[in-house]
Amino acid sequence: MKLTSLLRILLAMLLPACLAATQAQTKAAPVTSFSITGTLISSANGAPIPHGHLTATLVSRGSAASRQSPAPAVPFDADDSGRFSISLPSAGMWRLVANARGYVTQAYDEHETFSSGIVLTAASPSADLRFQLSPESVITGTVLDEAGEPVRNARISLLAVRPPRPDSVQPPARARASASTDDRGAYEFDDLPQGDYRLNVQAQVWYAMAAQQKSFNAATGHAPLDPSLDVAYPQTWYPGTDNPAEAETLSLRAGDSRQADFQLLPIPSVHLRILPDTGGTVANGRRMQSYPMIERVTAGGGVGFTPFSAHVDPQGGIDVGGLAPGRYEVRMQGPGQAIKPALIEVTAGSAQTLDMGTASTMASVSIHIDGISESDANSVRVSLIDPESGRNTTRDGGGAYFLSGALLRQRRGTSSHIIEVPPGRYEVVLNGKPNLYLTGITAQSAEAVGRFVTVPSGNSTLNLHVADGRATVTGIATMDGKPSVGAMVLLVPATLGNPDSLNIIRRDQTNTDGSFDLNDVLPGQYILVAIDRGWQVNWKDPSTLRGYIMRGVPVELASTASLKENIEAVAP
Amino acid sequence: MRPDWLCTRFRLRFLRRACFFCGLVAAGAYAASLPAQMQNGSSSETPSGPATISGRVVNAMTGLPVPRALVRINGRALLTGSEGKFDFDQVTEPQGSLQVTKPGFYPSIDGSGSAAISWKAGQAAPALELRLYPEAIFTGTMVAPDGDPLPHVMVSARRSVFDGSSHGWTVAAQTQTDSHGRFRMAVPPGDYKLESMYMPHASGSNEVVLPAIVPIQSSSNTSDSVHIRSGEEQRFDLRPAISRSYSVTATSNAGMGRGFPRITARSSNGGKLTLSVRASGSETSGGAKFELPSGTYTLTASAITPEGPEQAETTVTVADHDVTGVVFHLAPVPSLPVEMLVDGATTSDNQQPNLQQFGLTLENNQSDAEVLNSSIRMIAQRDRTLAFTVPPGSYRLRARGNGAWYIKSASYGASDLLRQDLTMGPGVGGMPIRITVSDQTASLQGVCRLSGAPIDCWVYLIPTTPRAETVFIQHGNSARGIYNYAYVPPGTYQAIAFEQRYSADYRDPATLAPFASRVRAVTLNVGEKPTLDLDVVPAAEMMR
Repeated sequence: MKLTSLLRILLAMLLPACLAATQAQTKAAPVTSFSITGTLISSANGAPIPHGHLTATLVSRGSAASRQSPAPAVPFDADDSGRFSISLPSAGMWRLVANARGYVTQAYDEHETFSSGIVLTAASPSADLRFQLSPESVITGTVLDEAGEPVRNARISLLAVRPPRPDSVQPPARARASASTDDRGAYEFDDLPQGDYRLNVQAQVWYAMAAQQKSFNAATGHAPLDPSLDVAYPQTWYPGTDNPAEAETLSLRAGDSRQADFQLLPIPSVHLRILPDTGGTVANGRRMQSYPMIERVTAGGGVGFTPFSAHVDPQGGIDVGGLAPGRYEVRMQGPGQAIKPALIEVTAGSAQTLDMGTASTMASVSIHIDGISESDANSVRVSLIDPESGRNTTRDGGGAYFLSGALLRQRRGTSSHIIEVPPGRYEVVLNGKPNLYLTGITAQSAEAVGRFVTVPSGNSTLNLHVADGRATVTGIATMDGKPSVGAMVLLVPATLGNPDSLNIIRRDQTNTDGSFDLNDVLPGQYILVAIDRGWQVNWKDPSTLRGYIMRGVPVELASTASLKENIEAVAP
Repeated sequence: MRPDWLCTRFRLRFLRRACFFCGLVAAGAYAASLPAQMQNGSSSETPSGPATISGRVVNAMTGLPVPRALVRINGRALLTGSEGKFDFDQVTEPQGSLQVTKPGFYPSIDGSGSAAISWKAGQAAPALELRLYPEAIFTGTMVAPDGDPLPHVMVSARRSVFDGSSHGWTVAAQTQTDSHGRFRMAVPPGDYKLESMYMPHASGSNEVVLPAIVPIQSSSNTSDSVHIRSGEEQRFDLRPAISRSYSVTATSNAGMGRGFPRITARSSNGGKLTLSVRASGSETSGGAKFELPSGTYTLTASAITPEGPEQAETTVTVADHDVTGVVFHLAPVPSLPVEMLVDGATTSDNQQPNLQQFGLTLENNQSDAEVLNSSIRMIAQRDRTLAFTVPPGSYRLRARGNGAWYIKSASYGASDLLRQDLTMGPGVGGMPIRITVSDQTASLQGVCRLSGAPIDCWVYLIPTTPRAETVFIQHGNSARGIYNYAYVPPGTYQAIAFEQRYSADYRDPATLAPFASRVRAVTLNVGEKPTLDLDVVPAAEMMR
C-alpha cells in the first residue's frame, strides 16, 4: 500500500477540502464483528510500549477511490502492556497508525513511505499484529557567533539525504524540517526517523543589521560603515562550511541523540545597487516608491526571502547591503513596477549594479499543450521542478509563485501560457486531471531529454504532448502458496536507463493478504517483481536491480488498462 | 512639541520595521540629544572644534559592563570592547542621537523602544554611562497529570500593555515545548499571563490538552498577572488537565459555505477554549466540527462577511457522547454610530475638532478577550460617519488625552459612559454614542527635581474625576526639568513624575501605591494656570 506520493499530495490539493467524506459502506455485515488486535513493541529491543495511541482508517481501493477524502478514523489507546484490541465497523482494508511518546509515528510495518494495509474479510474478520515502532532520533545543538555569543533566530534547515535512483538521477535532499534558535542559540529537531541528514543554518549578523538600520528613504550622507560591521554570515552547512558538497551527513539510527553545534563566522557583506525600472514609476508627476524583494536561489534546499538593508540614494538607486555571496532573484514591489524578476550572481568583492529596466536573465518559457481536449488542457498546471533542490520554481505570468499547497489555475481560454523561471535544468511535472500523462516534449530554443528540459535565459517554447488514460496494475503476491505480506513490489520500465524514457519506477508494499495496487501508471512496457522481506534490498543499485528484473514478469500496459497480475514473490 | 503618543507610535513602527529587516527581537535604542561640547567642559554655546564622545555601556541590573553592544552616533557605529567602553572621536556635529543595541537587552525598564537621557549643557560631562536592561525569561515545563512531559504544546506569554488610552493583553512571546515538554521565552519585563493552547493530546487520540493558565484565574473577570523584572528568570510548571473529548457538529443559518466561522467556547466555570474547527459533511449541507470535553459551554461563532462582521451565540452540553445539530444564527454585529457635539460654552479660537483625534476605543472588560477584540476602534462607514462595531459584551469608553479639546460627556441611551460600562446584549444595538467635546481647559506647569536637582522627566496626570481619558502624559525633555501642559480638562488629578517612561495601567490604584509619597493631588479649574513642582521617582525605584 502506497501511503504518500507526490501524486497523492497533489491530488489532495486539487480536492476541495470540504468534499464529502461519503462512505460506501452502507451494507452492514450481518453477524460478523471485525477487529484488529495486537501489541505495540519497540523495534530496538522488542519490549512492549505502554500507552500508545492507534488510529484505524478505512482505505478505499482503486485509483478513483484514492481521490476521496479520508474516511473517519477509529481511535484507540493501547494499555500498560502495549496491548490493543480495536473493534471495527466493517470489512475492508484498514490503515493502522500508531504513536507513542519517544517513538516515531508510524503506520503498520512502515518502510519509507509505504506500509501494509490490514485486510479484513468475512472469511478472516480479525488480525493479530506485532506492531513495531522505532524510537525517535533527536538532533540538538547551539549556534554561536564569532565571539562565542548565542545567535538568536537563526534558521536551521534539516534535509533528508536520499540515495541515487537506478536511473542515475540523484533525488534531491528533501527539506524535512526547520527550526529557529532561542535566546541561548539552542535548537532541537525531534521525532526523527532513522536516516541520513544534513543541516544548514542561515542567520543575520545582528550588529550589521542594526548598524545599517535607518529609514529606507534616509539620505545617505553619513560616513561609510566600518568594514568590520558591514558583514554577513554565509549559509553554513554542518559542521562549518559554506560549500554544500563538503556538508557532513549525519547517519542516525533509531533512538540516536546527536549534538550538532555551529559557529558562524562573518564575511564581508556584498553590496548590490539596484536601479528600479523607471518605466511606470511616475504617477501624478510623483515618483512612486518601490521596494526590492530578494530571494536567495540555492541548490540543495530552498531558502526563503533574504533580509537585507536597503537605502535609496539621491539618484534613485537602491543600495542593498548585508548580502552573502550567492545567487539571488530580485523583484521590485510597488505601484507601477513590472513584476518581472531578475537574477544576479552576487560575488565577493566590489559592489555590483542591477538595472531592473534591462535585466532579463530569467527564462521566459511559453508552454503549449497538445494531444488532449482544450478543456482538459486548461485544467493542467505545469510545474518545473529543480532536480537539485526538488523545489517547484514555477510561477504564473503575474510573477506569483505556485506556492506549495496553493491552487492556481491557468487562465481560461488560453491554450498556452508563459512561466518565468531561472535558467537551468528542470523536470516537467503535470498537475491536474490525474489520468493525464506526458508522452513527449519538443522544445524550441530549449533542450528536452525525457522528462527533463534545459531552458536558457530569454524566450523559449515547450510543446508538451499529453495523453489521457493512465493504467492500473493490481494483484496478489504469494510465496510457497501463502500470501507474501509486506513484500516490496517493483514495477520497472523496460526502458530503464534510456534518458529519453518518460516512465519511472513505481513501487508498493503488499498488504496482509498479499495484495498490492499500483494506480495511475504511465502506459508502457514494464517488469513486475515482488521481493519477499525485500525492504533491505538496495534496489537503487543498478546491478542489484538487474538481478531481480531477471526473475520478474514482463507486463505491457496499454492506455487505460486495468491489469490483474498475481505473482510469485522472490526471495531477497 | 510632538505629543507623546505620537512619538511612541512612531517608534513602534520604526522598531517593527527594523525587526522585519534584521530579525532582532530584543533590541532597542537610546535616543538622546547630545551637546557636542560636553567633553570640553565649556558652557559656551558654540562648540570649539570636534569633540570626543566616549563612555561605557552597563547592565542596569548588575552594573557589569556589556561588551559587544552596538553604539551608534550620527551614522557611525562601533561595538563596545570587553569593558563595555566606546569612543567616538572627531564628532563635529553640534548635536545628534546616541543609540545602543544589544540582543537580550532593552533600553528602558519597561522594554519600550526608547529612553531619553538629558545632558546638562555647561557642566563637565561625566563618563557617559548608558544603561541597558536585560530581558526577562520565563521557563518551565508542561506535564500531563500522569507525569509524562507534553511535547509540542504551544505556550504564549501575554503581556499587559497600556497604550495611553486603553489597556490590553498582547502576545509578547510564543513557543512550543520541546521533546521533554520544556519551554523558554525571553520577554520584556512586565506583567504577564502564561497560557498553553487547547489542543489534541496526540494525533489520532480522542483526548485534548486543556489550556493551562498562570496565574490561575479566580474568576473570569480578574486581571491577575505575574510580574517579572528585568534580568529575572521565573519558572512555571504547567499541569494542564487532559480530558476525553467528543465531537460537536454545528451548522449555521447562513451555511458555512463562506468559510468557517471562528468558534470559541466558554465553559460554565469561566474558562475559554479557542477551538480548531474542521469541515464536516458535504459542500451543500456544510457544517463545522470541533472537539469538546464533557461540560456545558457558551459557544460564540464569529465570521467576517463582505457585509461586515457577523456573530452568533448558543449553548451546548456535551455529556459523554458526540453532539450534532448545534445551529448558529449568525447576525450582523451591531454598529453604533458616534455623534460629536461641541459644548455650548466653547470659545471659537480653537480649530473645530475632528472626532478621530480623540483616539476613542471601547475597551473590552473581559480580561481574557482575544487580542484582536481587546479594544475596538471606530471604523469609517460608507457614508463617512464613524461607528463602533460592537459584539455582545461589556466595554469601557477610553480616549487619549491630547490637544486643546477633551471629552466633557459621553452617553449611550441613558448610560453615562464616563461613569458606566457600555453593555451590549446579543441582538441589541443601533443607538448612537453621543460625545460632547469642550475646549474649556486649564494649564499646568512645573519643575521636576531629583534629589533637589532639576531633571528631565515623564509626568503623568491621572484624573480622579470620571473621564474617558485615563492619563495625560507629558515628557519634560529639558535639562532644566521643566514640564508644561498647555491643555488639561478641569477636575481633580493625581500627579507623578518618573525619570523614565512608565507605562502601566493607571486606573489600577495599585499602580501608584509604591510611589505614594511622591504623588501630588491637584485641582484644576477652567482658565487657571497653576504651578506644581514634582519630586521625580528615580529609575532605580521604578524597578519593582
